[in-house]
Amino acid sequence: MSTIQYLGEHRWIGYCLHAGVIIGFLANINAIIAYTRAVKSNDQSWLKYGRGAFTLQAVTVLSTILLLFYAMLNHFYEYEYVRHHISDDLPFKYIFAAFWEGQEGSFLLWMFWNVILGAILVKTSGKWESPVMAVFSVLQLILFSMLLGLYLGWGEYVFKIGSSPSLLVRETFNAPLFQNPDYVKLIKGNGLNPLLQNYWMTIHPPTLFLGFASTIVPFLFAFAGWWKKDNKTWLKPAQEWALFSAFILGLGILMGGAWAYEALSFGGYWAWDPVENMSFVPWIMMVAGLHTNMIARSTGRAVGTTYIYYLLSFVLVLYSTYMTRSGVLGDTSAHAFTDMGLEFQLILLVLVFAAMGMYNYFKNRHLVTPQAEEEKIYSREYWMFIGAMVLLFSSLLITGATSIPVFNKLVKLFNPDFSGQVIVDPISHHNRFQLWIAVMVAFLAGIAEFLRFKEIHWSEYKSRFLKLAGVSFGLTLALFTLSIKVLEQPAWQHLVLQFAGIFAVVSNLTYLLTFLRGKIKLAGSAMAHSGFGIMVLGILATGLNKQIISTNMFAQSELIEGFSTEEYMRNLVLIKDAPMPIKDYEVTYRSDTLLNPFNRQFFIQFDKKDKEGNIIKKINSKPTLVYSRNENQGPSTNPSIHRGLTQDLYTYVNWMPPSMMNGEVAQQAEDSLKYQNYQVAKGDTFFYSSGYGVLRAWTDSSNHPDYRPESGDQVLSARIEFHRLNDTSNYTLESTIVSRGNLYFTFPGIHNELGLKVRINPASLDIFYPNDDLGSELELKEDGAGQLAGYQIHFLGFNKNPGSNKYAALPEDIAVATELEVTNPEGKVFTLAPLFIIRENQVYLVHDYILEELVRISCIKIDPQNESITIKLRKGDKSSKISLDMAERAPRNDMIVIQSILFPGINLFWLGSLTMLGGLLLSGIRRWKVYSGNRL
Amino acid sequence: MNKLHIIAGLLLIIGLAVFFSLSKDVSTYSSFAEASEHQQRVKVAGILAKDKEMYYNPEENPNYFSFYLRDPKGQEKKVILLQGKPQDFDRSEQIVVTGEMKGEEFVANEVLLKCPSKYKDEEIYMKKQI
Repeated sequence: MSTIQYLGEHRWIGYCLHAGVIIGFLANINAIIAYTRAVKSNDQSWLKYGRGAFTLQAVTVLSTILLLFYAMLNHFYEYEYVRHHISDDLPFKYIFAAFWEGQEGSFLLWMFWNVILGAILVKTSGKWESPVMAVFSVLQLILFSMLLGLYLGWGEYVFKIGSSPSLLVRETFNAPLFQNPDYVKLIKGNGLNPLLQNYWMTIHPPTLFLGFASTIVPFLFAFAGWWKKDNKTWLKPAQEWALFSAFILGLGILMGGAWAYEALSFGGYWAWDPVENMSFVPWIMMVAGLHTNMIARSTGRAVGTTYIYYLLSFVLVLYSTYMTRSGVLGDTSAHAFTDMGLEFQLILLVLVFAAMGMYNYFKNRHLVTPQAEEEKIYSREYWMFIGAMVLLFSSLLITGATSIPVFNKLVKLFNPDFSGQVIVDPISHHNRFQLWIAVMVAFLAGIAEFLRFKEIHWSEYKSRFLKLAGVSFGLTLALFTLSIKVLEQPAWQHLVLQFAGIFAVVSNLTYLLTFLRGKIKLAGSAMAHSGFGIMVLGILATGLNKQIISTNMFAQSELIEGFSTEEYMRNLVLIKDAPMPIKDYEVTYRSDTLLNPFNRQFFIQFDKKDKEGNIIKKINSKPTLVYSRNENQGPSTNPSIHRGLTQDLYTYVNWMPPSMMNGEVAQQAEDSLKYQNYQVAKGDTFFYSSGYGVLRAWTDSSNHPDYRPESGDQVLSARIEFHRLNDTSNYTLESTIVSRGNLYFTFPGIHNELGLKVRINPASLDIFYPNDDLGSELELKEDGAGQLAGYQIHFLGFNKNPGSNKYAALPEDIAVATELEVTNPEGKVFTLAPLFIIRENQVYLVHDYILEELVRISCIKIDPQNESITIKLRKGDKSSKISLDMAERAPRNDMIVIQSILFPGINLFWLGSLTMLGGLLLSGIRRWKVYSGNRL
Repeated sequence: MNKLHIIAGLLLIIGLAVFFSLSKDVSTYSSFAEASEHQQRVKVAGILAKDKEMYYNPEENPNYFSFYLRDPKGQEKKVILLQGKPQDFDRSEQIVVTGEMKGEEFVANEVLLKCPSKYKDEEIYMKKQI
């Protein structure tokens, strides 16, 4: 056991964190016992005790969160959670994103929402408080167990319960670094994954997690109802909470889709990815439960079904948590986390609630009233029930397909050679079935609105129903005929769905106008159902009608049989400033720029042309690259979306030159180049394999496009003219090297067409320090003149405000420029102004040059008493050479590969889904308002 | 009999039908030998053969990227991916390609890389307490 005394660790945070988790864990046990007692005995004191325990565990949740935030804000990198997710350069606005980037943080987020929901439940559930809170505390208990970080050992085996956020880095990794007592200073924060550094990571997880957390509440009321042998009154609060949960969870899922669309490059908002699927399925079941809930309240039937659907909704959330966090999805999902050793606990979480829920259901089965009368086929509840079953069916299909990896894992336990099943094309697989689910849901959501509960007076009502249904059907047919002109569908199944979608909208609007007489505040379901219809149309538009415009069918050199359709040729090569015609557009890669060390933005211009070739629209697309802090990792690519009313133009950069990729790749590409050295003086010619180059000039300033001047820079730039054999044109490039502080910065000259890359060797900078010392010095008074080495020097005067860009001024400096007029032996006149600087009692000189003559002039002394200066002249060899390194066949750095897709009608999708959620919200608000006085 | 039970029964039958047609979509990860034999669209999971050539020349064809993949049975074949070269391809621990065997080459249009760390947390190693 090491007995090193470590410096700089803030251990109190870890101790408080750990203590808080343990207290919260124990408090929940107390809450469960107390509330259960309260249910059995109706004793107020047990109720109060339960509330106290709940409050205590709420306090520990909040304190744990605050402590962890505190550690993150103050960069206590000795804690592994802080080290993993925070770095010194992380902007403050991403602190929340970093907080829930990891498993422990996201568990805390869930527990936080539970605290809020729990508090509301305590305040508002009335007689249901005890049973509801008893079961609620079971969830919170198990969540606390995920953070315990307890290790139990039997001999060789160590069994871990939970993963504590209070772990120190040195408790997590074994590294020689920790032999150093002062290691804390040496730890660098890893930081937030750059792809997660955006506003979506700040708003999507909390919304989604509130959605997940809220799925327990309808189940809690169902469970409580069963527990208290009541099959009626729990339905009311359950329905209100189900509306809330469906709204929030739906909103969270939609945000995920929007994020994927905006920031990821798979070109869409939904990919049937397992993590997406498993957050969607609980929502479907919540909607199903909501509908049977309404049936139960109107007719007294389907109470048991409602219980089951709410149970499923919640248990599926737990199952989804298991799948996401246990690593079982490793091969099949882009989202999944790897194993943190919590697998056993996650499975336990699912099983505990599934068992509890089912046990309670069957124990109190008598509450489910047997159906005495015959089903009324022409009743609203009949078809709503069928609709809910369709939703259940959909959930089972999706869950089954997504659970194949779990199935594989189970089989592997018994048969290690099992290689595992997989769905070859998940997207087409899911689409194939969910299409029909959507058709059925759309039809039912339309037709059922026209029916009434309990089939009241069907014989009189029948004609009205037929009229409404007929009108809707007719209108739909008309609109459908119009719509197929706009939306082309590849197959008849899609046409059916298109019809169904339109029907859902038309029938619900008809319902709104006729039954509801346009009363918007009652229109929750009409709004939700028409929203669904519009969303379906949006999906048809964007999914099947999306156009990949970055294909260049005629330029492909290698076509593989069976794979030469557009779908397989999605990438387009763009060379800077070379316009490329594709479909109705002309695309040009204009430029790129580094916004900051981690973001590069490309400018791509899309010009839409009409048939005559005139430009009717200009679109500037700006996709970006996000670089990782890890030098070995490649950049992630962010698309640019140009949103229009009828379609979006979606572009991203798929490939960029190695020099733009990351440090490691750029270095590899550079290392693979073979440089040849050439020593050239001004005017010299040098030959390479396909031609020759001439060094036209070299100067001390640069026009290189990548060079940003800073004061104090010493610049050497060479301009070289190239000629190719059998080619009359000449090509120029500029290569620059800069000495700044203690470092050299090279800005190579690259000619992409010739494939040449030229670097100036740092040794060339010696040209500014000519060796030949012509020794003599000349003392001059103001306005005086003299001769040095054949040069006539006239001292014009002092300039107390020198503005040389070769000089980086510090506040305490005393600097003065000496203005000189220098005439060379041939009579040519130059103006020079060498500087004389005193900084912290030391003398510094900034020389000035006559570059063509390799003459350097300095003011080496100022004599205040004589009011004179001393000039020194040094002359170099005119034939001094510059050392150039040149590589042939250098890869182009002006070429990128893009993918560009048009999404027509995508706004239909956003409009439809938001309308659907709006309908849920509207219904929820109305329920809350109408019954807010009548708390049970 | 209960009408609802009829409907439920119907749905069950549809469900079974769906399930069986589902099985068409499901298969095991194939090896190259199996892919050659079955001549249908399959998924192959394997490891990148880092010592063999990886070819991507966007100027020539931005939709052609070839590399060599070793399947779990040890067979190495050339894979032609009809996409650009994915980021961090060289760092991948495992590659899953979806496509068909065409002669001696596997032509794929989808790829999934398993990389050491991107979204995933690193595994936690426990220090042995003495």
